[in-house]
Amino acid sequence: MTIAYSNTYSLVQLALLCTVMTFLEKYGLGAVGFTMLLTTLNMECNLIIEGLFTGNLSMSMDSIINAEFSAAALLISFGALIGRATPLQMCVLSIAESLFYALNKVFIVFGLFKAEDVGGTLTIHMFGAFFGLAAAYALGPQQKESASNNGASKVSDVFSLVGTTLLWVYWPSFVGATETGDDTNEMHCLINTIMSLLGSTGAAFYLSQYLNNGKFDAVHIQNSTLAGGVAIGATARLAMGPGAAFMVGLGAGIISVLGYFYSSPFLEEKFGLYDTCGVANLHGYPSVFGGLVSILLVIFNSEADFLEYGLVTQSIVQALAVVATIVTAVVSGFVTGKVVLRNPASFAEVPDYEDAVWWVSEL
Amino acid sequence: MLNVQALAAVATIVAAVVSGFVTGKVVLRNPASFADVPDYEDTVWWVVELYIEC
Repeated sequence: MTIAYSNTYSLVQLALLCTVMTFLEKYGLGAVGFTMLLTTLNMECNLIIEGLFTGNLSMSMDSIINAEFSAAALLISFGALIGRATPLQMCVLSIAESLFYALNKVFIVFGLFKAEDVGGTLTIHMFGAFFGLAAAYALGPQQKESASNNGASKVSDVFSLVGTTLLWVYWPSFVGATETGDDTNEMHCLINTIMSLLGSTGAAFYLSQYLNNGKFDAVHIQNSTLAGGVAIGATARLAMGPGAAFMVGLGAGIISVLGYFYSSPFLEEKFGLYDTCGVANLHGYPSVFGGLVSILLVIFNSEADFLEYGLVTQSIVQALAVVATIVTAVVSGFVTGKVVLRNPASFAEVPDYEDAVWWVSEL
Repeated sequence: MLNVQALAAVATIVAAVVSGFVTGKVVLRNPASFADVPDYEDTVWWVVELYIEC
């Protein structure tokens, strides 16, 4: 039995998502350890829930890949809450999100609308980001004294940046993971994703130093360099050409850096929305950009056999899928956040961004 | 075949040395050489003001 390149390395890519979250100086064990716990729990739930929803409960490499995608959405949501939600709360949230994720993916995006989203821009990144942001909003503003723990050190930043570099390398395999049976589609996924990542990386480095008087901000480089991979997912198997893919990445990188620079402080100050990893800027805005771009990019390959409709109808369902995903994620994330995070057992006395309370650390 | 391999090796070394030297003279050794910037120390290129003291 042979397992294709994309299948193999999409597993590696999932494991690397936690590494980028290790930027918190006092939450390294939590970032890696809880990611392992939540990933396995979410994958187990997805294997059952998505199997029930699709009516296909047989185990295969495809069902494992789908479970990985579900876990990726959860880890994106975890990024908005990391350091503020307890492990038990995250376990409950993980189970709830696996249900809503599968509902949005199976019945809405691919069921009702039959939208194009090979790399999960809508179903994974958009859903995960807005679900996590809504849950973080439900949790409320950061008012604990331990808020000062929300910071990085040079060591944690270097570790996180290593994770970014490896994620960058494996990102194309994640986007092409479901296309291993079709050489043309898989090559389109890989090449378009690489071109888009090249665009977002260039944009992130240039804009970061431009906004910081000639210095790079590690947060921008750790995250915004990957924005191209987020945005290209909806259209990766379209024969759009390398220039179009590069421009998608360029736009996503610009949006992402501007988000970190302007949007995050604004959301904290005006709405009390504390997004620990800035998932709005890496996954939220770039996925909306990618979803909107997909409305136009179906023009490049409107005759493709994998598109369900003609040019105009396909563009309309792409737009509807974007709106429906955001609404589903925000509503389900807010309700889940209110029930799971904002309740009498909310562990108000537990310090935030400090994982020593969850690990044996006396020795 | 052996001669071609040897010529390719020599030509690659010559092309690399000449182009590298010229590029270095133009790009690195010019009036904007940043002589006041410390070597082997990257804090000058990264935002590090917000780091938590370990």
